[in-house]
Amino acid sequence: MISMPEVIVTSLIKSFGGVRAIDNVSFSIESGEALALLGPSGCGKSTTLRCIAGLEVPDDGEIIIGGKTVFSKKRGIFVPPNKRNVGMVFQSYALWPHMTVFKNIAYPLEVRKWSKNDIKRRVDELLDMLGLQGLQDRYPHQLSGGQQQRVALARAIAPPDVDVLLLDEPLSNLDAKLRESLRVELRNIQKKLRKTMIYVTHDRIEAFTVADKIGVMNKGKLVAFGKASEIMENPRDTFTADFLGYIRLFDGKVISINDLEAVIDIGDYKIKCKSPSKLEIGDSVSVYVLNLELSRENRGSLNTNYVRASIRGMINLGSVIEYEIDVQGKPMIVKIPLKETNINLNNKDIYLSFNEDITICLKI
Amino acid sequence: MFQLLPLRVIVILLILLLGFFILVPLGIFILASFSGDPFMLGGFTLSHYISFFTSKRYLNSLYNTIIISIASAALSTLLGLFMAILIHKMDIPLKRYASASIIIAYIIPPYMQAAAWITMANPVNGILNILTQNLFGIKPFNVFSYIGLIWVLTAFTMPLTYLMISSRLLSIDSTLEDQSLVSGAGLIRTFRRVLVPLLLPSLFTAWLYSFIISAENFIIPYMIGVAAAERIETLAVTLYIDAFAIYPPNYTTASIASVILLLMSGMGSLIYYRILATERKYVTIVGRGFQTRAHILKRSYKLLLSISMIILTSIIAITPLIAPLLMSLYRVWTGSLASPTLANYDRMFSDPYFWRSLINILIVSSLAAAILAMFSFLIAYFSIRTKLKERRILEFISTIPIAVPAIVAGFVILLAWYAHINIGIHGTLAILVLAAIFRFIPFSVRTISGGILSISSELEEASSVSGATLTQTLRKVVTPLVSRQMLISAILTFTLVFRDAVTPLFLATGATMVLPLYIFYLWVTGYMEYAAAMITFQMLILLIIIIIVMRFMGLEAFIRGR
Repeated sequence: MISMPEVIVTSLIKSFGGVRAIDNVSFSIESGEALALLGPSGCGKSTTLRCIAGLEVPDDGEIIIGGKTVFSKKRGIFVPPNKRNVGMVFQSYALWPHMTVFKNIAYPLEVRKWSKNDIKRRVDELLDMLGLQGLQDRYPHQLSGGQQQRVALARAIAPPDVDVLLLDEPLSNLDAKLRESLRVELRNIQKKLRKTMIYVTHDRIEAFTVADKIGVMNKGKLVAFGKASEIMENPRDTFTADFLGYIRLFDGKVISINDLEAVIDIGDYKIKCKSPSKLEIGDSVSVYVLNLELSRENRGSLNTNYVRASIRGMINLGSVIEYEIDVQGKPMIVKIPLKETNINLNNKDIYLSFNEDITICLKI
Repeated sequence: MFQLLPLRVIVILLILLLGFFILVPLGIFILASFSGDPFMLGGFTLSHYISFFTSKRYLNSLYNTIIISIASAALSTLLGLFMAILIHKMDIPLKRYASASIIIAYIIPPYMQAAAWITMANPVNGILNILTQNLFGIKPFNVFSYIGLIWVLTAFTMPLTYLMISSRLLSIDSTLEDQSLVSGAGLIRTFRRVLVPLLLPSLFTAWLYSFIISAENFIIPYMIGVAAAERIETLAVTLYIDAFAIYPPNYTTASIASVILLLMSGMGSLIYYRILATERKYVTIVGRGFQTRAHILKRSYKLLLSISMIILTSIIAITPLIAPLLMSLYRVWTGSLASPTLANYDRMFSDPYFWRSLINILIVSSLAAAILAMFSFLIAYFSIRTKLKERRILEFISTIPIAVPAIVAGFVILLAWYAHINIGIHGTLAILVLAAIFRFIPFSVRTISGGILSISSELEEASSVSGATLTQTLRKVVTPLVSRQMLISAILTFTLVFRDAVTPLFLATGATMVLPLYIFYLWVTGYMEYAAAMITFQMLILLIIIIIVMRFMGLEAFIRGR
């Protein structure tokens, strides 16, 4: 069977009072895939999700869900949210305070005119699946944050015919520990039910745990989109690299290019690195690394860049150490995982070392 | 846009309906003021306005209105602030008693407040004068004076300023004051430097609001000012006298007086809502509730403040309850308490006209309250929750009647639905219901809007994404969540209509007489003791309603409703 993408978004545009919240966004995901829309607050990721749900009317573009056009400016189509057959989890959970857990979960089934018995059976099944047994008669305010989150999820997946799940920062109101366990659980449920999922978050770890594909958004634009591993290994622009946790080391100029490898002149040193985007000789670039090491001497191995630096100060943050270092007269802050070799580094003069494979340069 | 089409149809229908019943009558009324007669047969001219503004009587009436309202509003705001700080910020005993008394005072009708103070302080046999006569041999009090009129208006508006200031006071986080105390400032300095500046905008809005209420009040100036040795007329009184009490009636001057009142109250309301809107931006609405902490006082201060609080609330709330009750127990009230009788009550219960006017007012208030609750819900919902451009028009039209004084409203309705477009409801209860809806729609929309605003829109979005239609969402999610607020709003509008003697003044006929107006007529035609019995009876009903509301919904219902 040839599968058509489950969700197709084409040239989506939405402005609020003259400000482009979504600026020409296009992407598609396959059935059963999980996409995380990642970006800082105000980047348009939630608005994109709300457009897909039908809660906002886009200014332009097209949205297709499960082969059915739900929005098209050109053809004058707008399918209201209640006819789109999607499930959604809101950041606030949006549980109805006047309904019990049972009533909340049963609601989408009631409006689909299920029989009482079928509703009872389905809700029981969901309560079991999400570990909410015995809570069906409670009201939302009698539940913990984690339980409320599960009820919201149960409600979103209640109708079995809902194929697309939309989650808007579903874990951001929970504490760190609960977040960790729930994001894995979410991932498992999504895989088990084979639902297509779009997950909006500003937390990159959450995005990489939950999703197969990642879309990075900035100022209304989709700046990176692809398989999670590709996005991580080959960020195409400085914003994505910064957001994914790359360390920005130096700025320099391209002096030679060979296929995907480039050599960057940063003054006293020449740095070898990968270049994911097309560069030309003379381009100004920033050098990024995913991680680096500090060492006392230049061990001079083949695929590693070495740069002299001096330590100004350090702060032990527990699992990482934050160093204030000086590279070529320029101060910068780097975070290094806590290791014995690092903690003993109290020399003023050290070397930064970073592998060529994980060094990339991006045009600025 | 696309899915908004059916919504737009509903909103446009609502606008047309509101426009027909609000804008059309007001338009006719303003046009008529430029004409020589209410039927606008004589063409339009400015000459009536010119002669109005050159007449000594009318200018005097305008001047009285402004001076009396400024003074009573100022006094009322000061007292309201004093009580609000005592009740919400001080650790003194009997606070709940004081707060409940003020809320009872809030529902006391103006004719009751006036009747009470006439009983207490009339120069012949006022209770206060009899007391001082016996003690010192003098009779210093005279309610039929400028001071008397200002005081009764103050007593009438003070509960309102108290409620307005309280609702702002309760939204100020106590940590702001605590910070000042910790910084070394004393309580007085803290209030002066922190609390009062934060309250300043709401002090002004409270003053402005009670200014409007005083300026447009008809009952109190009529019952007190007209009886004064040298008649004190305000615009509302002038309007009534010219339209009803002289022969031939002078409708032109009456309608010019109405237009001036309308302008004053309209401009006042405009400023009021401007300030309220900007003020709202600065109010910190926090998800986590914070407590307003009571400050702990020295025992001597505590006692002093507590006593002054009790005295003040008793004067404002208890006097109007006790004075008519006393008076109602005598065939002829002379000020002496010997040989009370229930004769007035016997007469009342066997008076068919009393029963008819009671049943009439119950029908009018219940119908108006029910229609208003449902209608206002629709208006509030669509103007808050849709993104249609038309919602602003809807919101605006539904706010306009707030600028129309009660006495003008009756005049406007009569002119429109009897003199110009006779839709066959004159002389029936329907015109009274229509007038009540016209009068109280802004109030009702505002209280219900508060309820809708307190629901996160995500609750409705979740319903919509779950597959529910707009009707299902309204029925299953929105209505259950705002039903409480709708009920509060309906009960409050019921009480407002139930005690309103002014709107029906031009509209009620013999068969459609309503209780508050009957009471007013009895009083001003000299049957004061009999009127007092009915006032007491009516107050009993109002008290029962208020106690039920307080019991089930808490005092906050009144503070939040504002």
